[in-house]
Amino acid sequence: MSLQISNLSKSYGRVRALSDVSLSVHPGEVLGIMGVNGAGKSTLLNCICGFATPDAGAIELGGRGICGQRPDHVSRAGVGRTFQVPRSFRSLTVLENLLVVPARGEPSGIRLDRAHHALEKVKLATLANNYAGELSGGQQKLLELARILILAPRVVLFDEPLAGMHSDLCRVFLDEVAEMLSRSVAVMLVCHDPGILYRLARDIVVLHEGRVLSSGSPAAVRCDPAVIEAYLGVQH
Amino acid sequence: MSMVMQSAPSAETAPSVRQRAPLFRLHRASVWIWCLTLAGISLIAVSIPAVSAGVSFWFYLFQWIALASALNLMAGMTGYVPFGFAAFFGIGAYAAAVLSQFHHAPTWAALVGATAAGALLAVLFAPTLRLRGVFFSVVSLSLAIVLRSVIVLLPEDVAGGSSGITITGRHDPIRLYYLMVAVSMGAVAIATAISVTPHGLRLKAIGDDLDAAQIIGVNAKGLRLAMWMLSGTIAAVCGALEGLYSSAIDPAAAFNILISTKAIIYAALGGLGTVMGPVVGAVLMTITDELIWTRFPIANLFILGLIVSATVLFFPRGIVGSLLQRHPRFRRWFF
Amino acid sequence: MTSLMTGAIVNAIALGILYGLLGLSLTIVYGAMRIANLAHGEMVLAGSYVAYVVTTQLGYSPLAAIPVAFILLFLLAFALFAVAGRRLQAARDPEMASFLFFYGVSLMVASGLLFLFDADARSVIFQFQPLSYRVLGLVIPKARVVAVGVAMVLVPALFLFLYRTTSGKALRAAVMNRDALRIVGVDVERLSLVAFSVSAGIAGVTGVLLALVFPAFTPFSGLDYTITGFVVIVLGGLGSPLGALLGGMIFAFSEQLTTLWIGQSAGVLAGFLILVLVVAIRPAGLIGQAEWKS
Repeated sequence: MSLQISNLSKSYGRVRALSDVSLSVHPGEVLGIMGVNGAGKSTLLNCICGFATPDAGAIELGGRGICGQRPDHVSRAGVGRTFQVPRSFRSLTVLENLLVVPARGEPSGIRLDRAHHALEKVKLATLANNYAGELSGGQQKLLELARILILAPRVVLFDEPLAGMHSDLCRVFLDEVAEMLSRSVAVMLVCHDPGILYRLARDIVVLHEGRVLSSGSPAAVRCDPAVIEAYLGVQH
Repeated sequence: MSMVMQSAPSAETAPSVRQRAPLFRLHRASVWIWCLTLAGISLIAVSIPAVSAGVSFWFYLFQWIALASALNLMAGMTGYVPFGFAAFFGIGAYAAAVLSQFHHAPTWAALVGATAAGALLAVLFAPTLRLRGVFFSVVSLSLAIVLRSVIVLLPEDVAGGSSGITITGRHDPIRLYYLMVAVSMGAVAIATAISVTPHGLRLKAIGDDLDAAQIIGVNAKGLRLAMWMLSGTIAAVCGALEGLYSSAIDPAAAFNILISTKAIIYAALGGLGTVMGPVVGAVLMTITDELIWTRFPIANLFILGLIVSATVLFFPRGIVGSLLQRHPRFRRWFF
Repeated sequence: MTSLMTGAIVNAIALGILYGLLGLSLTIVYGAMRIANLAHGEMVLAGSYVAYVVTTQLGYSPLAAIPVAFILLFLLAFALFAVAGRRLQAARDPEMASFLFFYGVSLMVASGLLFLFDADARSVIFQFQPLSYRVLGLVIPKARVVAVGVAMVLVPALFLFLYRTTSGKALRAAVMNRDALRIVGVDVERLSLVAFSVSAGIAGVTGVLLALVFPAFTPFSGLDYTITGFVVIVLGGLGSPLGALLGGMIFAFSEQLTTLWIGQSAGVLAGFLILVLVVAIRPAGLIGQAEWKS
């Protein structure tokens, strides 16, 4: 299932957070989103998953419009998301954080098996009965990843998944992304670190002040003078 | 491919389907012990009329268990504190009284009418769930006051006007007492059932982080509405039983804001968001109330206030809540 | 009929400014500290009883009761907050914790008043010279003129404090972000303590003024004041001083005019109905901050 965004615009008062943004994420591919703070990355994610209603434009998931739907409906439609600052449910245990995901007719025994399996994959199995509020920041990010594994969405939006993560934990994340891609999941990766995007992404979209500054293959984006000037200028 | 990524269960995994539903952090025995405790309480409650001259104390004890538990379904489990909770109690009392006195309905019909009235009111007030925090609380309180004024303004042969309705006979107090026991145990059973199923987890998740809960597909709006309906309907039935039991109702007493505040306080003292808390809080406070009324009639209110304030300062999560917070090993047994 | 109308409008203005004052002291505390002071009405009521003692029992002018009520309630609130403030604000849900705590306080204050003054209704009896003024064919009691006059001085003074002084600005900033305030070096704890005490002091003064306007009060009148206070500030928008004043005016006008046109019991209804309507259209109140709605 692919995610297609066309001509999306969103303003907060006089601030145009997004203007005329178009992009698409395809199954089995990573679309990288780059941009400095305030470029509109968060607004983009919020519009896709239903926290914000765009002023104009369309968001289509597998050809079906999901624009303006409630977050839980978007989730049901097959979109998963992590947050830049991980948001786990503090008063639930680690295991409960996974069991809380709506079952959609899945028998509870299978759900429990999958939850344990997911915790093993993200190396949190030993902490299953601790409260999520007791985890470190990096561990909470992994817990969010495990939640995505349980949810098994067709499109995943990762918001800065590697920021502040230990390199061992990064490996866990990268392995899971590789596995998702092999299962034809469409991945959108918002990331500050161009190195990781150049390595993983098939295409990159660079946002700047709410607009698409440049888009295309990593090689093309890397050489785009507009990007070099606006975003990488300091480094060159 | 690993089954973790599989969204639909397949037939090959049949053996593990047999595995019983997880009870989360709880020890399985804890639920059984709790159910046995409730059964024991019911048994004692049922035998009270045989050994005691009056059931009044016990009637109100179970009424407060029911009201505190019903309020907790909303305030404790969703974080929405309805100051106007008394509106449900009042509408239930009025529905039962009007049906019984003006339309000569038998007890069961009066109760069915009160239940329907409570559910209807919950639907009518559902748009207030868009609000949050003090906004929600104050608007819900205002609606209760509006409802009371409307009832006063209605013609006397419709709703009794400002002097209320006196119900003349035909309702056996002992039977009403048994019904109250049943309603309160039912309310606690509903809270227990919600708490040990994933719905309980989802409600806690909404309380922790609404956005994150929605993004994993939790229907926060639907769950909240369901709790609102349950909470309001139970309160309406309590109001109906109390109205028939005391056989006299008036607008000031039926819509008394003390019904809201007492329910909130009893539930909070025991521990909002827990199942056992409201029961513990209601039992302790009803007994305390009774004791200080008889021993210190003048200082009654003062002592009550002191207990409330001191508990909030020293056990901010209520008795059960603070216990769970301080002693992690209890988390497997109390909930 | 027109003189009835003018009378109702004059009444509404007088009550509106007093309700505004009631809301103002409540909104400072709720907005800046997330403390839902459910004992606010009882603090107001305590002020009314101070006025009762000073005038009816001791025979002094109600104006003398104003400083007494302010100081007494300031001290009471200071002691209360010194004991409880830190714990309440550290609670997981300060709003809920303070709601319960102050419910307890309201019971204690009400029973204290009951113990001291019995359950009978009391009123402020003081012979003003002259007893009343005649304006535009209306008889306006001097007591009411005095009450409104004091409120007219107090409200601008409060606004000056909130908008012109550093502490006032800090308080208004706390409505938006407490942590940011801490980072810039404001002693939030002390600010809260002083603000809470001042708010209680103003509540006491409001009580003196209300005693001049309302004919009688009992130890159980507190809850009505608390409810009115909360309705007023929700109507205007939580944490907004201007909103409190506006809310007070709207509440008083709807109450007075409906009483005039339809009747006493409809008057009570109107204010609350308007609140429900306003919040249905603007969930954050008239001058509310958008982020507080859902």
